[in-house]
Amino acid sequence: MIRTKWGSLVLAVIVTAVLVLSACSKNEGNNASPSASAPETPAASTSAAESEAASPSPAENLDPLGKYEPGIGLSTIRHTNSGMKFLNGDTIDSNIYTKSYESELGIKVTNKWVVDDTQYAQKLNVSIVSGDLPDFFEVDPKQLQTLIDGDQLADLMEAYEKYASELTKKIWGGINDGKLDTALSKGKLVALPINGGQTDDPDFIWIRQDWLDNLGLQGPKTMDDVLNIAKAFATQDPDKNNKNDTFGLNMNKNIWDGYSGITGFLNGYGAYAYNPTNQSGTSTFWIKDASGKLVFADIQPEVKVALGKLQELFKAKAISPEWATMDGTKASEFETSGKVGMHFGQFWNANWPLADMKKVNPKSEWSIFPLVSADGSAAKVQSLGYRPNRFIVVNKSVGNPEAIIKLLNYFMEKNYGETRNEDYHIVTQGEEQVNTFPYAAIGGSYADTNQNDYALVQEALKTNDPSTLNPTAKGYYDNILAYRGGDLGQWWVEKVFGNQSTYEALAKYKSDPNNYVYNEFYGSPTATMSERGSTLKDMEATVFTKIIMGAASIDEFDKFVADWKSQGGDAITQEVNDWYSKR
Amino acid sequence: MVQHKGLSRTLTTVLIYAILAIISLACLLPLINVLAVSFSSNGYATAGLVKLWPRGFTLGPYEFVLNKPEFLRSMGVSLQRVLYGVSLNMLLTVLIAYPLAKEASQFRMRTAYAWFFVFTTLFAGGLIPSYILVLKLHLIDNLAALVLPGAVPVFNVILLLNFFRSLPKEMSEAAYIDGAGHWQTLWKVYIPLSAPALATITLFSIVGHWNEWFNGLIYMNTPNHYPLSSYLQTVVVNRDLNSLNLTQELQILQNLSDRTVKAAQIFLGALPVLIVYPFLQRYFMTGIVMGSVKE
Repeated sequence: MIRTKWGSLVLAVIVTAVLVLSACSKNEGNNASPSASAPETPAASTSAAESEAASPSPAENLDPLGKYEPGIGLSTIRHTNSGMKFLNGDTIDSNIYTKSYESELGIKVTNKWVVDDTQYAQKLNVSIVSGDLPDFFEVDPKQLQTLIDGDQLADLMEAYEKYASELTKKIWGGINDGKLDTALSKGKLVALPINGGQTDDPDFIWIRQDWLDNLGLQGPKTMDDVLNIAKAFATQDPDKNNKNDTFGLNMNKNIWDGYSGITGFLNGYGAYAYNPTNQSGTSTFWIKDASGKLVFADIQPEVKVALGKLQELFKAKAISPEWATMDGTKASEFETSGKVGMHFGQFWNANWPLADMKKVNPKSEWSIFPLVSADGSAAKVQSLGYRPNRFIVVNKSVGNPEAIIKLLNYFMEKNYGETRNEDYHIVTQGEEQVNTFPYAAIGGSYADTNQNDYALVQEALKTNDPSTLNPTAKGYYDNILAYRGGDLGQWWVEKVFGNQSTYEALAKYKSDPNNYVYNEFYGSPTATMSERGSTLKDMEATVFTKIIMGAASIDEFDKFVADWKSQGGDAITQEVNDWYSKR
Repeated sequence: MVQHKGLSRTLTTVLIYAILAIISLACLLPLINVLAVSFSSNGYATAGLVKLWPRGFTLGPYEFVLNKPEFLRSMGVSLQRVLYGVSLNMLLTVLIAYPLAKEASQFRMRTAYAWFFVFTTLFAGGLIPSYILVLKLHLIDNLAALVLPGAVPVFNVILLLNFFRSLPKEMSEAAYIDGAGHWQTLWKVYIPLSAPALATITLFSIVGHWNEWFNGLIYMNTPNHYPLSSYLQTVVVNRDLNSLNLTQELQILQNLSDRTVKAAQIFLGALPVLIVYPFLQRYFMTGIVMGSVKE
């Protein structure tokens, strides 16, 4: 008996010991490897300490591209995607940008971690909550607000004023104009908006031209034409296969998507609702009412009218009864297999999902029509890309916040400045064009890069002279010629940059600034928005879907408006208007 | 009467076979579809025209995937993870299940220890505390972060513990009388008799490590250190079509329609586990201990 007891005790001790030891030994093995960092200090503070130690504050040298002697170190985090290509031997950790940063600016930029685009927000959230932050990094508006509330960000006002180069200021504007005012908080510049200013994202009406021709129909001039075309596509056998197997308008359950969403349809009725179903209900769209106050676009009477028309289409079987179960990918299958002849979507729809359709069905031909309005006047289109939604922020612990401005200056100089060098933009390697500009830790561009390339390509096509084209535009030019020579794989280039292309239609939109409706609210998400936004968004998605599917009468919309107001909407409206008046 | 009985039995049999057939088809068809898509040309796949047989047959996707360094590298990480992870899982499971299978009269602290382990299945720290723990232990970006946090699979311990208990007590007593200590009893009697249970939990453990992707994404700092499942997650997940309005992302869109390549990667990723199953299956037999003890 005694022996057994002792035996089991010994065994218990062994089990415990094995557990403890296995954890310890691995732990020790690890402590040894990152030798630079002291055991308890998170890396962020370590590198900040390094940078302070390394640079005994250089005496006010305001050169925007001045080199640090001795060099400093900055840590960041990056996201990549499978479309990102690298030159031989390069990686996201070591490439032309990281090398030049170090040799020309004396800034050694290291990546604390690298992750795929799709997981960036989540991994960053974990880092934010656990306080494991790099020196500078990219955030979305919600993360920006969290960091502002936590007082974790450096004020870049002075650094930007003093160190931003002429070129950078030309492209990004001063503190109070253009986009930088979206990153102001209590008089501090807490972030650098890296996008925004874009007006390339309104919807178009994409229609199967071969179906129109089969039925002897003209392109739409008014929204009534759109409804009639949709109904004709659903009932008159536009693909001539003697089967009643087609639909008029393609939609997917994420109704605010840039492909097969309803944004363009709503714009046609002067409605500018936007509240993406797969986000947290904090990216909403606000317009000015007659009295000059900001109002939530999604509860305006125009939305009700547009939803009623969609319900009419659904009842006429012009929209697939299964649309509410299809995501964008499913909807794209439905369309590229030739079951539906029209959708609302943005300029890149030619690229995805329609790029390969001509290979499967050579008879298919898509036409792009600018949005039309109910009464035939020019429709005002909605643009979200005008307001920035990606920002670079700098950790409060960084001793040289101006170093980040220098990195930005460097990018602008090499891409748009006098010392422009294509090695920093696009490099041709063998058959392939490799974009090197995404390697930069911080970048930015003129908002109209694509539009300008379109104009250049058009000019070159007219004169048959591609010699003045920049390498990007030259690529488009070559591909358009290849398509016209029979290479169906380049169909999308023709549709985006060629004749009757999306950029041709965008040029029409852009010809008059009054054609655009922008979001009037571009502050950080408000308190009630962060708290109630998700619930309100779900309510909205449910009600809109039900109305379109005829499961709820159109008058359900009025009840939704009342519910939205009482369940937090009024408070949000108040907060948004407070922001607007204080702005 | 007899005829009626025969008829209803036949009906029942037919019904059971029908239900089982439907269930197995439901498991098999998606796999076949993925396989068919992976051998098809992109246009047909994007249009959703590929069902159970490839259209526009091509080996292109496989050629592309097998020449892709990311895929093979993450496959290597996954193999390492399974090797270390499963070995550690099995060692600890056996060493914990054996004492806990003893009765309280032999091992007085048994209940306390058992609760110690069960507690961890009921309550967990959650994502952020776990992350901070791994961070402070300096395991971030290290394979150990994928192996150590799940080193003791308590569910497997409970399975094995119950299996050990079902073994006749007389056998361990006989071994004890023949002079065997606990170690000898464990290695020479319990382990050989437990092959079915061990095969089962080994399989659980392999599949668990192979398929787990979230920790890989959170704890690894560069895609070079991703296990296969984390890598596939980044390849296969659908992009948010709202955020796609940037000019710089035109080239991403090109890759969106690489459905055939995705399918090839999914299939190649599932292949190792599919291969392991038949090899372990031969251990799935019971009744070995029958007749070992005379009552």
